[in-house]
Amino acid sequence: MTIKAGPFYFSESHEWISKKADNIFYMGISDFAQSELGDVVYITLPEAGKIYQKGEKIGEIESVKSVSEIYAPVSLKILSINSNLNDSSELINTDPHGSGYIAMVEPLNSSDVLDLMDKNTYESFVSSNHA
Amino acid sequence: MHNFHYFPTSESDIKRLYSILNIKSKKELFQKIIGDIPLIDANNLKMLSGGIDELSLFSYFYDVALSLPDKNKFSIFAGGGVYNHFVPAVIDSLISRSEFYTPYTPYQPEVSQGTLFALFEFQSMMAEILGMDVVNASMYDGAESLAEAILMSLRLYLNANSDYSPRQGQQVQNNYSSDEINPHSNHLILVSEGVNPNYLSVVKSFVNNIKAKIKIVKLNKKTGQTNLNDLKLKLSAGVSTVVIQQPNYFGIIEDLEELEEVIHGFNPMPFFVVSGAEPFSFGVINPPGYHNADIFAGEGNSFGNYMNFGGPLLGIFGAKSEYIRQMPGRIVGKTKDAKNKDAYTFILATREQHIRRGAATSNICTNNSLNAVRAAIYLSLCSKLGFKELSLLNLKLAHILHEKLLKTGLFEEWFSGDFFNEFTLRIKNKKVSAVQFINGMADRGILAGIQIAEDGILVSATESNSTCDIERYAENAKDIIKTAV
Amino acid sequence: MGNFPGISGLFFDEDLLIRQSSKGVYGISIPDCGLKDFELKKTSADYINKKFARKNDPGLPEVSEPTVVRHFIRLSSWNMCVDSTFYPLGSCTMKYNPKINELISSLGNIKGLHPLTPIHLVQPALKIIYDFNLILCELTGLDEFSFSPQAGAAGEFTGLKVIKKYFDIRGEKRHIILIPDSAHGTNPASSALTGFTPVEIKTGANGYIEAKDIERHLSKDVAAIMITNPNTLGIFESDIKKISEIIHKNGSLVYMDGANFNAFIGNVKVLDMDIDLIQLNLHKTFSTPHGGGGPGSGAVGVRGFLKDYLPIPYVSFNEGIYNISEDKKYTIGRIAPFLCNFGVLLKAYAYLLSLGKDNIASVSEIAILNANYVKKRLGKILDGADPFEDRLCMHECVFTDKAIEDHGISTIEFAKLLIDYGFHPPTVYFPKNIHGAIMIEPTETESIKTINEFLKAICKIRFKTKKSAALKSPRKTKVKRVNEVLANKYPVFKY
Repeated sequence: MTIKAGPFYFSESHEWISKKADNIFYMGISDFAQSELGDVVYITLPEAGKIYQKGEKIGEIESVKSVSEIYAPVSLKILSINSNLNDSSELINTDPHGSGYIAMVEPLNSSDVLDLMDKNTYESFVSSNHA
Repeated sequence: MHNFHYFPTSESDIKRLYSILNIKSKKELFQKIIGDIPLIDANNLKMLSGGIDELSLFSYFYDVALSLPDKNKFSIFAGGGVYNHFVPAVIDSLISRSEFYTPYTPYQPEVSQGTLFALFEFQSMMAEILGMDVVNASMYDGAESLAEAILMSLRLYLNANSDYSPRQGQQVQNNYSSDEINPHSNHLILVSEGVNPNYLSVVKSFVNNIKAKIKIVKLNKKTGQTNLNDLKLKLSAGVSTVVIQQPNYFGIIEDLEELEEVIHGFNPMPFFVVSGAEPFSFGVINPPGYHNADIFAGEGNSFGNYMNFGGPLLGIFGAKSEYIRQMPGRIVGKTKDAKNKDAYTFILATREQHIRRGAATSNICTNNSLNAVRAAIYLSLCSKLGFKELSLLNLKLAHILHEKLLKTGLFEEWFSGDFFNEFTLRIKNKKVSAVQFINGMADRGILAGIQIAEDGILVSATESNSTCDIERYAENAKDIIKTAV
Repeated sequence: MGNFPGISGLFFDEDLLIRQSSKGVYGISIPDCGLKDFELKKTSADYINKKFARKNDPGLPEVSEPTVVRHFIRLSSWNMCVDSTFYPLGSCTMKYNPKINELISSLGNIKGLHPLTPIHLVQPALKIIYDFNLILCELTGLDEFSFSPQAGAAGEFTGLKVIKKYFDIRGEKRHIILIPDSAHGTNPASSALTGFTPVEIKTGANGYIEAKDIERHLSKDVAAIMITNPNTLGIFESDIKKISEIIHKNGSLVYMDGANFNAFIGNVKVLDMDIDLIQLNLHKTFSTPHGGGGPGSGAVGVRGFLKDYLPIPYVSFNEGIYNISEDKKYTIGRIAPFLCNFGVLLKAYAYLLSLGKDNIASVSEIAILNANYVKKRLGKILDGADPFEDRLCMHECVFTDKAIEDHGISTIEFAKLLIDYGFHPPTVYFPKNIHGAIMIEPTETESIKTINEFLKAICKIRFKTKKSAALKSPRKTKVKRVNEVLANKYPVFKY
């Protein structure tokens, strides 16, 4: 089954991934995740070119009084990072599914993406786990 | 029966509390909480007498104080990490404000602006003096500060040289003992022999939990400076850190410029950590920041604090700003309040134990803030010119003393290097050991120095010592050493 | 605000001293050391190689003595402190700091004592350290205290190093420290610093660690449990003896974090809980002031079999002479450059002498009564917010944000609102296992009247405060709500 460009797929650790073009995906953290974190003040981004296994820590997001880890939603290679975040970490709060993306990535096996939750499933996952 | 004067609760208040809680007695209260763990009867304590009234208590400690060397008559020429500097009356007067000494750590910035503002000024003034980008709000003392600096340099070194966690500025997991996260298990920390031996001991206590070894870089036997050739010889891949003390334990001024070139010239580049116990020296000599030190970690007690029999002291920790996220301890930052007025608060708390817990950059929580505020008041009083003048005065007095003692013919120079306010001497008369000399002088009201060898002493002079005191030192030394048989 | 001590007066503005500078001015009287004119005229180049000489003076302010005094007096007025108001910061034991102790520790000969003065001249100082050890041993039941650690976290580090060395000497490789989820962050941080792996254990529904839950965490890798008792929920660890037994059976040790010793002092010996070692925070239970962040002192006490592992140097007593000794067979080494934070220890010692055996037991008794009074009254005001309603607490109590959140107010707003009533807020958002935690420690030096005023303020916040007002709080402080996001996003750490 092929993956269409556009829809968002979510991990249980609240990252999303979405196809842009062949072998090019965006990834970021969900709107729910950013709302739990509060104002993001600092972000540690992954390294371009590097490969991470599913579930591996790829970076960190800090608010004033908390630190959250960012995990690879699927096994992937980082193509490029969103360096805008270094100066404008607030993009994660204001536009988590758009200009506040974390990185452009290439899944090692793109069908892994289909194992993640689609939008509706993720929304019910969030409401049942974080009532 | 009356209440003890620190308790606002009367006997009847206590009864009322018990009845509100529906509990009959202390016994029942504790029994309900701690179960079968026995209650002790404090009246049976043997090591504690009955309560002592305030007048008697004061008179007891007044007698204790009287039987100690008289602060105003005892001439102190001992340093070794703690220096006897003059403390202006303003400091005790201001610090005795309850608003400074009775709050907790400023967790609620809106009601702690006084402490935060003062710490911000402390950080700023210390950064100026050290020439470092950023100084934190204090550590315990020079030794602990240095130990933390070494751990920080190791994290930075791992960041820079390991494939494992290459991302710039990222927190490295703090479990130094695990091979898993520390693939380079052969790290070496080079420490100059000129580092205070007590600091070195503390550093060892911190470092022996981790997979890194300490190697000592020898001093040049003649000058007392760190031996450049020995340093070059010992620099190797895996050396994460080189530690130099400025001025060093023996009072000698190190050539930081030359050392830095060698240290930072080595590939892979080690981190250059400068320690120090007498920051007054930086009024006269170039501070570590001017020589590209990555971290400064040392003692700041000389600024407005008393010697307190060795504690509390004032740990200073400074670094280059690019390393700020790996620093230990509290840092105060300037920001705005809701009305856009300047305000201060702790920043980058995500480094710290209360947030990052096991992965924090340090375990430090309580630090020595009040000592730092004392230093801030002191440095403000000194101001630009006073600081320089006092620093120069220290330099001069130590050299006057040095010259005077050499002139007696009883001592010879141990090291020939330039020094600031502390130096080493050898007692020529073999019949008088350093300990005998120091004890003999102490009985004459002079703390003549610290023993560094069977026949070697470490002597310092500060602005608390007048030329009269120096004269008295020389006269008594003659007496003791010449009359020895 | 009626009878509340809320500040309504005048705040002085004050700028950084560096911005008040006048060129050439300074505020210190430089001692006349008797230098001759020719010596006065010399420069550093006459003494040291000019390549060492500093060319640019550090950018310190240029201000006079009265300017400095006014500056810092103004700053001081922007602080809340325990001498000015109720300061119920949980797990910090903000009790009254007796003034006589300050006076004693400021006696010239005491504060002016150099740590390397020959010991025959410092016998009375050494005696104080020695005697203080004996009193702490008797109060806790333990066998020896080390005063090397400079604060609580340093005490934890010291204790954990003792544990590490103990197993090293026995040839056992144990790397895990079990730590309850309610523990202070220093516990896991100190464990990591010592090379241990902290493993979290969950607090049971009743607010304490259940012995039966310990079993599954046990293995030959467990070096110790690090258990705060009473814990940061103010709850006594009811299973402590059983836990100690299980832990000991596993060949592991029991470290008690004694930050909350104010709940036991004079009434309970911690040894009766079968613990092996503890750190006591002299700046909490023993009344020494916290200084706006320190200095403190974190004395570490151990049972006999661990005495030889304690740090050096320590004070010994032999044939009538007090000595500074370093002869401990398995010592973990040096933790601090000198003996101890003597200036702090002295105040703690004076405090114990003042109390004496006739008053010492009242400390924990009244502290517990006060905390339970708050718990009971507040349990009604903050309906449903007491997670341990049926239990008595010890020296402090903790509430969730349930009641205030129902009213639309968050814990942080609650804290800031209390400030406007003239109270320092409790500890908030800690421990982490309590939602929106509010942790209150009313020590034995607070009156019922003060506590009632505090409760009344909470009542007003709970029932009368509008969300809009909460967002604007605090309104009466020198600065209004501090922008912490800005502070952290664009750090400015010096002038």
